[in-house]
Amino acid sequence: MKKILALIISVITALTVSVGCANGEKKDSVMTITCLLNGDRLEGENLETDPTVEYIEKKFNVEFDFIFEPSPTINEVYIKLNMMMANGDVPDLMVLRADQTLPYTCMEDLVEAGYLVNMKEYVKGKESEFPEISELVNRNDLKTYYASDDNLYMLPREYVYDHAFIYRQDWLDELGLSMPTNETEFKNVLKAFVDNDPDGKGTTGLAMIYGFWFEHILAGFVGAHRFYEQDGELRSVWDADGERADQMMQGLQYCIDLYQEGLLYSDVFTAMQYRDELAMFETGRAGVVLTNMNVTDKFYNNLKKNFPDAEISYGVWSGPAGLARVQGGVGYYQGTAVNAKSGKTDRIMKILEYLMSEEGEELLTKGIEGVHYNITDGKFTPNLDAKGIEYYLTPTKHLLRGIVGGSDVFDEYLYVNEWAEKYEKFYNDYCLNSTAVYDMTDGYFSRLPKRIQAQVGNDPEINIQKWEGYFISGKADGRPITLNKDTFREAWNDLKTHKTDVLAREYGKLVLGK
Amino acid sequence: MKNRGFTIFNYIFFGVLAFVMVYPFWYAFLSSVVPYSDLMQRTLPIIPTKFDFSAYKEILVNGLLGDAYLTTIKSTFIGLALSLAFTVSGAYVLSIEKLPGAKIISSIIILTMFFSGGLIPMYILLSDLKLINNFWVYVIPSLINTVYMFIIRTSFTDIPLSLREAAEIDGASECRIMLTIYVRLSLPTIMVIGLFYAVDKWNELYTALYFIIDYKLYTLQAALYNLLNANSGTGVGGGAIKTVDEQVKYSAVILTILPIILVYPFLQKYFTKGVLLGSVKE
Repeated sequence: MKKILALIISVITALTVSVGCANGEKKDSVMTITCLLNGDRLEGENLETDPTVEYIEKKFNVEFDFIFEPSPTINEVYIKLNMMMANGDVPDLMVLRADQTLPYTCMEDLVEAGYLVNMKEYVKGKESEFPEISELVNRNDLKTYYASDDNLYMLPREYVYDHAFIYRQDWLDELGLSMPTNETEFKNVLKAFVDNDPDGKGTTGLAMIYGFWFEHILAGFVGAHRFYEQDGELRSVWDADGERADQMMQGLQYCIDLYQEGLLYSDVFTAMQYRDELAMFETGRAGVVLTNMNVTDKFYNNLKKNFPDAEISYGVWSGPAGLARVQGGVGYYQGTAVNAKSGKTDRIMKILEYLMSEEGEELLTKGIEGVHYNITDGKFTPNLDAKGIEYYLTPTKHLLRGIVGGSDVFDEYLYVNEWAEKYEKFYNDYCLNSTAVYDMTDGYFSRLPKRIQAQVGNDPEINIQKWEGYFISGKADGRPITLNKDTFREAWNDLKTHKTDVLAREYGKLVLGK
Repeated sequence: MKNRGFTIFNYIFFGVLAFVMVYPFWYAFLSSVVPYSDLMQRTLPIIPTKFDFSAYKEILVNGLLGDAYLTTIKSTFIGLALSLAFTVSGAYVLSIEKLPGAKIISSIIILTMFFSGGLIPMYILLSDLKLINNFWVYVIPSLINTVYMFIIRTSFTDIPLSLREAAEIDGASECRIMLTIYVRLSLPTIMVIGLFYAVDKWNELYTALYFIIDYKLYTLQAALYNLLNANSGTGVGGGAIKTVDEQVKYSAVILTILPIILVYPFLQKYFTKGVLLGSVKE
């Protein structure tokens, strides 16, 4: 017994000493800036020692202390921020969201407690010192980011959808098909893929996940969602008695046909994003995948490993109402806020201004000259062995781009991947200079004041997706359902019980001033 | 005949039950060792024909779970030892019948089982105690689990009082009485509680997520949570900047549960004894 006790005490003592040593505090005279980023730590696992971060730290005599909070639903991030706020421990720089109830409430609480810098007020009279921030905060399309006191407390991030139909180009070539340009050709291509099954793996045609992603296909038939006035009341164009109800039904019927004819991934309703649909594509069980282009990084190498001759291409087709593609824009979901009580506001604002400037943008998209790349005789050559180069080899570029107002997706890419050229062309043609419609979820619902979203539930768009899912799957809460005018109307009326009409009314007040 | 039918039913029923429980573990293991192309097929073979341990290699070489392993091992060992010491001491004191105000003290302790301060007061308290982003947050706030303490107290009260009186007559100190009589006679119960504590500490997740900032101080579960959510697309980059292969995720799951699964059989005998203790009055 004594021996065991002695052993336990020795182990505890040894571990305690080692823990004590590991917790030694670092003394530094530079200004430490705590920075809360939502996202998983893996994204920024090397950020503390990243040359770009060190460059910024040296330039501004600061040291970043990054706080990451892994969270699949982002709730943990704002629970933590709430606790920090209650303790007076608010980070100096933080990425906030305004599209969900908890993050929005958190932002409002921070505003009420005087923790956030009023961006417009801050740069007033300092336009020459903060030209980029001034230009951004004075834009007139940032209403969703305003707090309930009608002030702007964060720098919005512009987000460009990089969604595309990604095709097996080698299959198209093998079957003598060209890239589909309309819904009929698209269906024919899927049918040819399924019938011929070029890799012999039992292909299904189109792989995608349920939910928002169907909006792309429906957009080709219905176009933009919007509300219109009828008898003094705002109605959705997709209303069962609305002006585009027929087109909506046509689009739904198209999806139903794809599903029933085996041209659409049969597990679409339960598939997990970035896993199942990519697995289908990279193992030759789907000829087309509808997803973010920036995950090409993930599936391309595996695809080539499985099928060395495989080639890919990005595409989009047009339906009767236009491109089968919806586009997000400013107002998507995030913004960067600065702690007004930290005493570090001026320095942080200067850093943000720098990162938004041309020089900062170059730094975050290309890296440091001489470290990440060299220019010889005017030719740009990336240094693929440089520390931290991995950030620049992704379409999303350096992680810190996420805290400044610029688009956080590819615009200038280091050409190290064989698919990059096709990527850039599609990105420029359809993502940056898109004529696609703004989708209803980001274009409208998320722009409503968040107090309204709190009234109607956190995710009103989920109700609409559920409604679409009823018809595509042919099952409504376990009961069989077929698409016709009556069931369509019934389903829409059911949606009204989810207060879509409240959204319409509030949208009218906000956007149309009615 | 009836008994035979019942026996067959039992075999089938418990066989299916065991399969349902074991299969997820087997599936996770399988997914971690089959080649990527096999994993990405619609179905996995029950017995793999080809093996690929590259995911384990990636985790071990890149040290994806290294710090977390160390933190979890430290918190489990230190936490277990200190928790048992404090819990047993607390249970012993409360089991003494002549303790003045024993009922009031017990009631106050029981109260904490039904009411908690909530997350924010907890954060403020831990901050005042300088425990935020500090390793000791895994140990000190959870030193005593009141339920476990009352289980041990109940075990102590089952020990005949005459043993204690005899020890007192022989001049034994309270500490000696506790260690040589009460702890020794209640060893199965204490071992079971120890196992519970160890599992609790090993599975620590939310303490790390809410009260720790430095990733190097994350526990294994928090690191795993981070890894499993790596592709969620909710990150600061707005997309799947860094994706993690499914094999790596499954391998991480296996590496996370393996130590506790390996320890379990060795404590099984105490577990059975502890559960049976006091169930028969002779």
